[in-house]
Amino acid sequence: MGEIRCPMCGKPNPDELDVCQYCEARLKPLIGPFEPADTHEPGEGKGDSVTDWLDSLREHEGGELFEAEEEISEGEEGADESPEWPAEVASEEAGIPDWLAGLGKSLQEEGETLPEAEVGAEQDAGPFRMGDLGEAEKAGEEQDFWTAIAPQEESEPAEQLPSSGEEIPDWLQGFGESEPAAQVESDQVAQTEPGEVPDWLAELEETAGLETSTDALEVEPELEEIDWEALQPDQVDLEAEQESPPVSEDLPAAAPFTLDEEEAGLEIGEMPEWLAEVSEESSAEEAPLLEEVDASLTPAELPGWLEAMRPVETAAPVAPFIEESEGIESRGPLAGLRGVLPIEPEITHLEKPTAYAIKLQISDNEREHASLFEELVLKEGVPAPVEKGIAISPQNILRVVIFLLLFLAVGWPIYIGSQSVDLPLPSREVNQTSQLIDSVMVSEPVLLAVDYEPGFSGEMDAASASIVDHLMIRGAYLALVSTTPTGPAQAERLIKTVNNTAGHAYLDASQYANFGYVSGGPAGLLSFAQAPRGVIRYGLNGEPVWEAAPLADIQTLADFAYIVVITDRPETARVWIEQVQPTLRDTEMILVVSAQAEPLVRPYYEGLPQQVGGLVTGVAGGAAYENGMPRTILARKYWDAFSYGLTLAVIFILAGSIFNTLAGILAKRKYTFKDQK
Amino acid sequence: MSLADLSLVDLIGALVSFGLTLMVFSYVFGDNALFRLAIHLFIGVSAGYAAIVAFYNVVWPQLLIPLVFGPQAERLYVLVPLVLAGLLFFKVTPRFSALGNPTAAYLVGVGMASAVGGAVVGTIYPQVFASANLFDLQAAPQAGRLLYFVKSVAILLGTLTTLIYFYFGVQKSPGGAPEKGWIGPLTWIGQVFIAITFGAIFAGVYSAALMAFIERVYFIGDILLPLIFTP
Repeated sequence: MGEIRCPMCGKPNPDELDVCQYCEARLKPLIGPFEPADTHEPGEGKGDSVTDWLDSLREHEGGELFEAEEEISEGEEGADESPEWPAEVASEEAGIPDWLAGLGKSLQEEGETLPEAEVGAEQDAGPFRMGDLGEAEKAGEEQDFWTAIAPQEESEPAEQLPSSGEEIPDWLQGFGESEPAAQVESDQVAQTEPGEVPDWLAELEETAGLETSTDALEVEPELEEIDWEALQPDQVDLEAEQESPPVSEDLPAAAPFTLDEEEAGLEIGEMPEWLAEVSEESSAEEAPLLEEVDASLTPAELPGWLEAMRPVETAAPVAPFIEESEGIESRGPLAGLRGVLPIEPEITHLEKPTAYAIKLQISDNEREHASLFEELVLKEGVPAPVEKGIAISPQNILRVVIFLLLFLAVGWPIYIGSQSVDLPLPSREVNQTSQLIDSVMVSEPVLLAVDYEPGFSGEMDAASASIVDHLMIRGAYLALVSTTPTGPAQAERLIKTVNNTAGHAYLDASQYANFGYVSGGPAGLLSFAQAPRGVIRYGLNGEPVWEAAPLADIQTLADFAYIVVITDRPETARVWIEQVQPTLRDTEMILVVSAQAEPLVRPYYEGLPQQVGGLVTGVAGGAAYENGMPRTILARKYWDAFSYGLTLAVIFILAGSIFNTLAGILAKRKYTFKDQK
Repeated sequence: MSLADLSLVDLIGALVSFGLTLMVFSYVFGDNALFRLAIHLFIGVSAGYAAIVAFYNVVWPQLLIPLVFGPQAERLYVLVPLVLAGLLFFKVTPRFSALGNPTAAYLVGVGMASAVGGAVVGTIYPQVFASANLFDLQAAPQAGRLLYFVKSVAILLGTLTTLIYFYFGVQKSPGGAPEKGWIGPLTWIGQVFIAITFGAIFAGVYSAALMAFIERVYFIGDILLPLIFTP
């Protein structure tokens, strides 16, 4: 079983493999039958002259390839007769490898112009040959293949040089102008006489690694017999390779390809400095030539193996990635090292802290709930739209009917002035209240708190009028006060109503004083209970209230004979009890409350010990109090209407309850009947 | 009292009251503009009257008069509430509302202290003592001592079952099952007491509303009857 030496890495592979087992480079070309170029044992000498795979390529395609190359070099349109891909390859070789051609020429010039003394030294670092790959590999040197083979490719443009009298392309002339040494060589090539070894062959020999001195290179006798003019370059090359003994055996052993220190430090993909300079210089000259060639040739795809042979820069145009963090240290003992102390710039690097959005990050569900809540809040401030037309519905009709019945039940006794309904008997709390007021001495100060809203004046006036009348009868000095802003006006109205109804002549300042409004809620009321003179200075009329004789000895609310609180709200009654009653000592508190507040106020009266000395609730309490008085005032006037209206309300409630019960039973039977069906 | 006996101011007031009363009664035909106008007038007049009363009954006599006409010590004394009240005005603008926080904190703190202290001293302790003293038969009247005892038992039962209902009977979650066992009947008794209480409150509310209606009907009668039956 033979071996195939990989054209990329130079390592031997079994001949049945198509791909290198080391670098996965293609070993066999995709086009044409492939003959293993290196199946013979090393040392046979066939592969020493040129690369084997290139030989095989030239055996099959070489003639046409050289024709195409010559036609391209002469600028003719003969490329149509040759196969497409060799022509494209040739065109690419004619266009792209200018930097390589220039490099090869520069190397040739160096070889030709160097003194003989330096040639021997250059043999150590001479051009690379394919046959030398094995030696280089044996030497343990890892080399980039294309870095090593570049001089060999440079030989192909050199083969296109006209043997005599042909014009040098402009791009080549321009390159030669840039390097005077190349111009000298082109002149020498133009002066070559027929029968001599063609320059392109000599250059091929040189670029193939035969970097030897002119003295050491002797033309073989067989070569002198060849008609060089009639032979195609590839034929000459192939025949010379087949018939002539291996050059390497006759020639002094070429020094293995070695890299100088600079090249040895290069990594894969990096271009040597000298090569970069050449490519930069030739890049400007390549552009017009490429345009000219591209205009005459149709583009095609390169074979894979040939694609793999392209320069590294072309195959991998992207520069190798180097992390920014692995920067080169510029200071300290680690200066020049890469990737050390990466934490330093992160610590010393001061940057503005990241700005976070102040916008509340909430989910869609939360946003939906927030919008719903906002909508509810906004709806609170928007009045409901008024219905344009009053719909006539059974409910509206029923409401009007109830109103009319209630209006008749209330208005008829008022209209006829009926007082046929007996007043209720005084209850225990009413009797107790009456007894307390009966103990009031003349001009004894009694604090009368009027804390009800105007809407409840009908009930509260009726409930409290008899008590106020009783106090006036007793000749008490009334000190009116209120913890609601509308209270002082209600107090004045109550006094006026009782005066007018009962025939009293209670006058301001002489028989009563309106302290006005006590602000501050519970705290204000507590302050008023502890120091009334500090809270109230002037009366509702703007006059000093404490200058009246009955109030001269008043320092706290406990100095009053009684505290009578008239209120419609249980909260107000509770505040008076909580804030004032504990400060009263022996002074009794009497509550006159609305019927709706009675359930919550009564425990203060029923408890032991009593917190409230007397209790009168609603119109019924006022009527009961009047029943115990020698004369009637408001409660008596309202009592009949109140009784009829209350009776009618009870009838409505019972009728509605019976109707709803029957409707529920009928509905239940209806559903049961449907279910049975 | 007839309309002829009223002064011009009282007559105007009576006519305005009559018109507003009819506007409120128009609600029997449904929500309408007249009813809303009357309601808005009542709210606006009440607010305006409250502001005037607060100024003439609080600010003027208790702040401005001492500040202007009072002695030096009184001026310095009222300077503290004046500054605090001035800071409270900054609550109007959100930018400087923080300046009003001390005043608001003072008001809330004093108010809460008064309310809590009054509740403890005026309601909780006295009511606890009253509940404990219900069975002091020596304090009960000689006549009807049995009835007093039954009443005391009813009050105690109502108090306990109502508390049990609120503490154990309320469902912990919507649709959840109430407490079972011997707690169940007690909570049901508590519900009965609560229902009676709410019924009494509703009766009181209806009584108050009916009395307001009677008073207005009476007022309308006082206005209309002299006009109708006056020759």
